[in-house]
Amino acid sequence: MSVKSIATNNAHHPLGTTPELQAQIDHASHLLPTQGPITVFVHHNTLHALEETLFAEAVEQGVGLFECEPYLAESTYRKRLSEGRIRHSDLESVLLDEMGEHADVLVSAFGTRYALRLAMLQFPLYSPSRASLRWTIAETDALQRFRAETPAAIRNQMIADTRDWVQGRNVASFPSAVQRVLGRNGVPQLKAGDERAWEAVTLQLLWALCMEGVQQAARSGDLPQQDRRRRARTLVRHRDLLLAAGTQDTDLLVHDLLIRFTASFVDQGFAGWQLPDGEGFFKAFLKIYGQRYSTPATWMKGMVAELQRLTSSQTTAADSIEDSLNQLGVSAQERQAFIQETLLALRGWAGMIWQLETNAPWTPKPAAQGTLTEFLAVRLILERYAIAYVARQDLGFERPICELKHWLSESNPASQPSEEERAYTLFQLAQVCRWRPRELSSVNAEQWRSILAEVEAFSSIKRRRVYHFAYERKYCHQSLDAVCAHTKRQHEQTHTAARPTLPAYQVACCIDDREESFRRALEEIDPACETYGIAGFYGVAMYYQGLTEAHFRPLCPVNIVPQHYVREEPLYSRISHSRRQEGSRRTLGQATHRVHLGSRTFLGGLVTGLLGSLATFPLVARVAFPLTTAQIRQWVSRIVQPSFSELHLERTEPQPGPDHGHLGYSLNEMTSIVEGGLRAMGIVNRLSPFVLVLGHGSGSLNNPHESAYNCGACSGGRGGPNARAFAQMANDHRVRARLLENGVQIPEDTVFLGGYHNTCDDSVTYFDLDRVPFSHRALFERIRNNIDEARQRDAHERCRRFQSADLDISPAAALRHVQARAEDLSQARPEYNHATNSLCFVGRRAWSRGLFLDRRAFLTSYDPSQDDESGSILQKLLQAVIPVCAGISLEYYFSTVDPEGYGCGSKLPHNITSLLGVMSGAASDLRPGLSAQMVEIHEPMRILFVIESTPETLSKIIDANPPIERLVKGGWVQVATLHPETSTIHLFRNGEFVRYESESLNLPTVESSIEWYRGHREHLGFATILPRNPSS
Amino acid sequence: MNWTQILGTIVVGSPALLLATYGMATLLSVQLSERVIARLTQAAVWIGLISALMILGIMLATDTRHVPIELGNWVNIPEQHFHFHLKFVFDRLSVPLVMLSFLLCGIVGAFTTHYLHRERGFRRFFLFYSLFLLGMVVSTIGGTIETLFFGWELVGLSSALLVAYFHEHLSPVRNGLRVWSVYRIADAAFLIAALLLHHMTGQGDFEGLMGKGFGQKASLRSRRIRRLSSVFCCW
Repeated sequence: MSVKSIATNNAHHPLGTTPELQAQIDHASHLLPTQGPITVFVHHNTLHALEETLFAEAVEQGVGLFECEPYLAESTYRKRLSEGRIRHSDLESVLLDEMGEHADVLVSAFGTRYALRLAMLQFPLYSPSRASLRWTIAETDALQRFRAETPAAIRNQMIADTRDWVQGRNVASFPSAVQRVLGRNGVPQLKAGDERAWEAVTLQLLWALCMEGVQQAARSGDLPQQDRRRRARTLVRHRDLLLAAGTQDTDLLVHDLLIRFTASFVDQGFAGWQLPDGEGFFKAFLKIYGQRYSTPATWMKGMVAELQRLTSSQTTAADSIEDSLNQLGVSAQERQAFIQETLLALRGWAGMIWQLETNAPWTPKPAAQGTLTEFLAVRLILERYAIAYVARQDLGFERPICELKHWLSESNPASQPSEEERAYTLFQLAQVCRWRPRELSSVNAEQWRSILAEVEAFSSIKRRRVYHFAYERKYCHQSLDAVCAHTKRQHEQTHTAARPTLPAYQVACCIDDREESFRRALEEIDPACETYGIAGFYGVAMYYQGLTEAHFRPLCPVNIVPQHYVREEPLYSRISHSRRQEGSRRTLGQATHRVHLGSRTFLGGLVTGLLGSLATFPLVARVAFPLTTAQIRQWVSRIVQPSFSELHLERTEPQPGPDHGHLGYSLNEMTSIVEGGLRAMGIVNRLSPFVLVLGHGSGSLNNPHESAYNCGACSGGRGGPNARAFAQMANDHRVRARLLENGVQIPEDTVFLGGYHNTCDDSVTYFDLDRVPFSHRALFERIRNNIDEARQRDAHERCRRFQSADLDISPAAALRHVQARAEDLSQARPEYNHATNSLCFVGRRAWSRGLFLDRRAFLTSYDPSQDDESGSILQKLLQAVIPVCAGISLEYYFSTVDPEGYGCGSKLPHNITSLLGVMSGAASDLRPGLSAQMVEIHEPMRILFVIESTPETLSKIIDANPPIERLVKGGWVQVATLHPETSTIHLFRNGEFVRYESESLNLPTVESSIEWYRGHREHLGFATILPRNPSS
Repeated sequence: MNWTQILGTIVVGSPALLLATYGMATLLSVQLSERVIARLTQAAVWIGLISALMILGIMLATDTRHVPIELGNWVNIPEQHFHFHLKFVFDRLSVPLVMLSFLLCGIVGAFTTHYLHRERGFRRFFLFYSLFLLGMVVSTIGGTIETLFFGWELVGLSSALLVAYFHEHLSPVRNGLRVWSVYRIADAAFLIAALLLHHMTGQGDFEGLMGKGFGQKASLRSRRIRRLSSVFCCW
């Protein structure tokens, strides 16, 4: 963010943009997706631009701005209600909370507002279109039988009441609507025992009375306005007005060309041909499309001449925008909205341009300042021609297009629901709310108006909001109850057991939710070990270049700009061998690139056609035997891949930089990194003889989003080098000496070892193993065996989610299964990444150890007993943990509630373009967000933080840090504090911490994780894992 | 009926049966599970491939170069001198080609069972896939121009439907339609060829055009061109 703001502030408008126009573009640009190039996919709040507002308001604004869903569908929530995932008590409680004192307001004769809303929530309300409603009334048994949801008691009661009311009375004494129904059914002759006939009479009376009521209400004044379009707003773009008038979509024409041109303009090295270098977006466009015969489509007729005119008059992009806006007849008041919606129409590409312009200086080809403005200029030129063409073709509009908007807006009033549609909603409610015909017949027009207004005010979005909050409430309470019960249990145990001694060894992992099961497995295997969670870059913020990589890339959270450069280098004694390998790698790489480009030429295409069938063999091998093929490939690539390397970690020159001598860290910097890491984990003065430091990442064969699966604390990179660097620093005796001066003692016999956990194939690699002293090798062997066992168990637990793995698979087979998934070309789900994430614990592992969390929790280690009064360590931790975890949780939330709008849709038709992002099919908008396959098992909920601290300390931290404050007070995340000794929990609600009273302390106890999850694919509840014979 | 006849019928029969199964399941709204579909597809491809291999083995062992499979006249209008004669020919060119078709389709099937896992259109894809497989087999071993045309139509139809597989999006549907239109041009060419063939020889059998028995060389070349062109069009 910091880079972005600098760039905007320093803008001195080289394009001659007026400040007003620049401000309008800047304003619109904040709404564009902020996802950078796909190689550094970083999870962030999809609605980051609206973070200043409350969550519930922002998601509803998103409906208007982006045409995206705010919550899951009502039917989904209702399904969860029937499954017990939402309890009725949750619904009632959330509804009461929302309504406050208005709950008991009486809605004329129809009961309380609360009862009405509850009924609207509990029973589905169908709103068929006008035509299908007529069909429903005429052809289905809607007027013969009660809705299936109506409880039998209500049904019988209503029928009986109607019978009593109608029978034995003079038909003429009824209102005319009732008379008609009675006459049609021959009521006076109807037998009292004919249930079915009386049911039909009851329903027809209800329908007739509801219709009559709505008509009465309409006669007595205007009915409440209801905008039924999904996107409630005035149409400002010509394209939307034209579409509403029934023409073809002008955006299809414009985007077809604009996507192709933009993709090649921002290309980062994928294209065969490059655009003319050094010229901006606008000039390059004028140059290419200003040539004769370059615009063959009929709708672009006349554009060549116009572009040539713009070139010769040296019009700037800004002038061209002014010109286009005038030609399109956009008034000064509409401008802001018009520019905003125009940019949002192709927001993926526009957003990527904005990112390249402001936020990606490290890419091979960043965009020049002002590119977004030039993009807008080009877009408007294309729109002018497309609009004129479509208006002429489809509407016969021959006048200048500046008059088009006025002409169109006259002929397009917003449609309102018909009386039948309104009555049908009431009719459905009447059947479940026990509104009897006897009562309805005496309701007056004013009362009908009020019930209509009441029903329509509780719109679908509002109902979904209540549902969603109830959905979150259930899980939140369930989690807090589990924490409460588990900590109580832990507390009792530690009192009876002896004081814990120093663990045999310690393993530090990233806080990532995927490490939860790995850590739990390791602790179950070897109770004498201890695990820690810390942001996976281990405080080592660096630009890193691997041995076989061409560029440095940042390995640290996005909000940090690294100052240091670290390079992996071949072992000094093998440097000449490594040079040879480097040479062959380069030759091979260039040859592959040439073949790729060559196969796309005319001659190359012919050769490919003739020899292409040879590619059948590797293809067959890859599809049929993915794992074996991958092993062979790795074996072959070993010829050119060096196997021994070291980190160039220590700097000799004073200034850090990417050149030799400037690489690495000074001793003082190393000391502060190690100290910071140890203190954050709360491991100081508690170090065992062996500390394994694991970074993590994910490797899979066919996955454009691979970087999203990597470590979020490393900007979507793999955290292995960070762990390696941290271990190397902590092993340095000079660093240890300096640490001692700061009061941090690392015992002489403590050894750190860096490693890398691949969460996709569950492999663990160790770095610099040769440096482990002989004295520690036996211990390391024990650790390695335990880790290997943990890998199998982790893979096994993951496999329960994969339908292609049998539920009775063995742990060893499970490991092979996940290995094959990683290498399978046809696998769209190599792993499920952060899907199902929902919790984040910050505190000592002691109280959460042995709690089955189903891979849903981020686990951050923090020891309040080592922190000061004001919680300065906690503050530093939360500054990173809350935004990062909130970003992950919210990105998953939005991509799940609207996979097509906020997410990137199905992964299957994705194509990588320009090395920047994915498009659906051959040409579409760039698709930021997560794919449907990534989120398919996710439960969209705002993350719940459980922090081991006091409400007072945490309140101070929240108030002192605006980014945290926005998230917490805006309701983007849920926060609770925990006192583990007393199991007291305070939950943050409506601006303050409130004591949470647990609902139930029933927490199942099982002997192992596998016993708890075996045989289940669905989300699992919490449980305490209590091995029968703890050996410690 | 000897062995080659039986095996030859199996080569055509197994994809036909696969299509019938998927088609009937769709028609009767029977929801076959992903696993069943994967197994059935695998079985159909393996059975077809192995039968073709066995035919090749028998042909090599007995030094037979020409195995016609006659499935009779399906339409016969003597007044117009027209009959639709369903006939397949196994020779040393068509057998390897039909094996290649099975192999590539089998790989596509194996790939897709993973790739389309949990997709809503999983069954739809395999219905089109079986249509394509049958089309490929029929057109590679078709012995008369009518049979070839029949296979070609299946390939064309299924290609257009497969291109438009992601039918929630606009462009695949448009592209599918485009493919469909292009196939119509090829159809016209085919029909002209069929008319000419009938006009010249009075029947659609390739043997009638090129002569029977030892005029193998000429017929082989023409068949090679025909098959290659059809294979290239498909891929």
